[in-house]
Amino acid sequence: MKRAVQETARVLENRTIGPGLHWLALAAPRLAAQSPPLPGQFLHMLPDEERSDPLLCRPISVLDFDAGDGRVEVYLQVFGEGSRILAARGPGDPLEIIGSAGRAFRDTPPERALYLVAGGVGLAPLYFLARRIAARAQAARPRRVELLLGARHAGLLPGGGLLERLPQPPRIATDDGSRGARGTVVALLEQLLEREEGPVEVAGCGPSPMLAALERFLARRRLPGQVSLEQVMGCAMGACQGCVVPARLADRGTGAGEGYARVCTEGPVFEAGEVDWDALAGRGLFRHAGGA
Amino acid sequence: MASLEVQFGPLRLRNPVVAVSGTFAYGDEYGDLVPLDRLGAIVTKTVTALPRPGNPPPRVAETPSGMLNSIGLSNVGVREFLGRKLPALQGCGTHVIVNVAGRTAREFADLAGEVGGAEGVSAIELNLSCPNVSHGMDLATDPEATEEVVRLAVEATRTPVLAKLTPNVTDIALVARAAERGGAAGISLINTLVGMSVDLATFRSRLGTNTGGLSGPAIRPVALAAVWKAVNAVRIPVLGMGGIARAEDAVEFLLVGARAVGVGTATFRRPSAMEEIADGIADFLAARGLSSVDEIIGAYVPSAAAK
Repeated sequence: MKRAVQETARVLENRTIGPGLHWLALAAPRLAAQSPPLPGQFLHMLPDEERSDPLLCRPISVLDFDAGDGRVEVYLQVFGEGSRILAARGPGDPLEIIGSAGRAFRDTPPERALYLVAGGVGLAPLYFLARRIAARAQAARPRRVELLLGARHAGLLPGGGLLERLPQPPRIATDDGSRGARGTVVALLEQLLEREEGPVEVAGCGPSPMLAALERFLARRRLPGQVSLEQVMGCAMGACQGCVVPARLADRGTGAGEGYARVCTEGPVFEAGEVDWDALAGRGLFRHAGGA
Repeated sequence: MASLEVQFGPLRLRNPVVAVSGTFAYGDEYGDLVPLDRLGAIVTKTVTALPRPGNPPPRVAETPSGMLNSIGLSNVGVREFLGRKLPALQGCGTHVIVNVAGRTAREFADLAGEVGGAEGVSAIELNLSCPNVSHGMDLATDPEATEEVVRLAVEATRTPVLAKLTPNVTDIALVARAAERGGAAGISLINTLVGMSVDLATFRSRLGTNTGGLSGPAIRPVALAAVWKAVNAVRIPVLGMGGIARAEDAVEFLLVGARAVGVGTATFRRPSAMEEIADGIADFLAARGLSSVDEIIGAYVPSAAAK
């Protein structure tokens, strides 16, 4: 197995499943054979090989992966020029990828109920995780997994049959109550955990303010968890040190120097408590820096 | 089959393509993607006396056909470099050039001496484009300071010393000549251009610092002109870099007289870029019935105009 490969993947399908939301399937046999993705990992995707503008690859979480087919899926939200170009790719088009990159979600003890908390396009890695856990579940010891999905309003939720592929229907939260519970997805988590008696673990992915709120909740309740971050990246391979966030890593070293961790290598999945959200908030990083 | 071998001062390179400092760490991270034995040389991330965590994020911001970086010389420090990173590079299959930066001329010399004495180092590259305490400005903007640092570094080690120059000067020929007088075995240029980008949503810099270094295709014409001027100012070999993405770009730099070409930002987009550039240079030569890179180095035909 290789840490990463570079491949000219081929688009198999591109489904528009919401406003600016695209579900892409790619054929990537090299990736499948030499660097198969795990839930939490991402692909560094080049918008247009022929053009130097936009220049950089975009790091996009893997939504799903079928080893047998060599088929990898991603969930794109059009945010800036790079993502717009990627989202416009049609069947048969080439798409340059580098992957699989990043630190995946770690295994969690099966006796703990696992709550997956997704905000917007942060759904992707948690969707992959939920499906993989279900595929590997042993009938004798079924694993409890709850997936919570938040959006500002119902119109922003992904359609196209995506959610129907989850092992069980997700619990929805919308800010305006247009679908599911009214309020934030972290508030929904708090409500659900009030009724939870056994041990619990959480994994979250979504916009930075959501993750910061989730971590504050986990710290208050002393619950274990993992969070998957995003960050603008240069190389995505750990070489350029461009994607760091302020962090103190528990029980593991950093390759980014004192007080920092690379989102592409020590992340994107971090343990709850490692990332310094206050420091990130203070830098105006609570938004998609630079667009995608 | 055309020969891509070039002589770069005392170093013989299998081809003119070099991975530039800051884009390739210490050669390990790209290990599975870029076979080092297909490169002419790699230049390590800058090594400083003490470990440096680097600047607060964001450290990269995309700009038109380019990117700004404000990494801040994040590195493991010379102790860890010599103890762990350099041994891991032994037998890596290509020349290892170690980039160093000090806060004073004396510190540059000490680093050159320490690193130069280590096994497996083909050359030292002095990163003169970093803020400097005793002068209060980039060393490489001052010819006298450049000559002093180079001289002290050359005296400290038998390993060849290269001086990396900044484009942020009025006349790069002055600094190039100063490096040559100091005894540099070669010069490398250009380092990044000073640039800035403001986020309209936050009114702040898109970087954690106010300004950063611009790289990528946007800077290529600036780099090419600087390389041409430097080549015509000195006799020592020039490693030309700045926005090289494809073989055609590399050939431009060779034509104006660079003996080797550096590739950095392009690797982020396409790890195979350096190999493709080497292959493309070979194709360029073959298509013209030329048998070696030396036949195009410096083959640029200057205009009769004053500039």
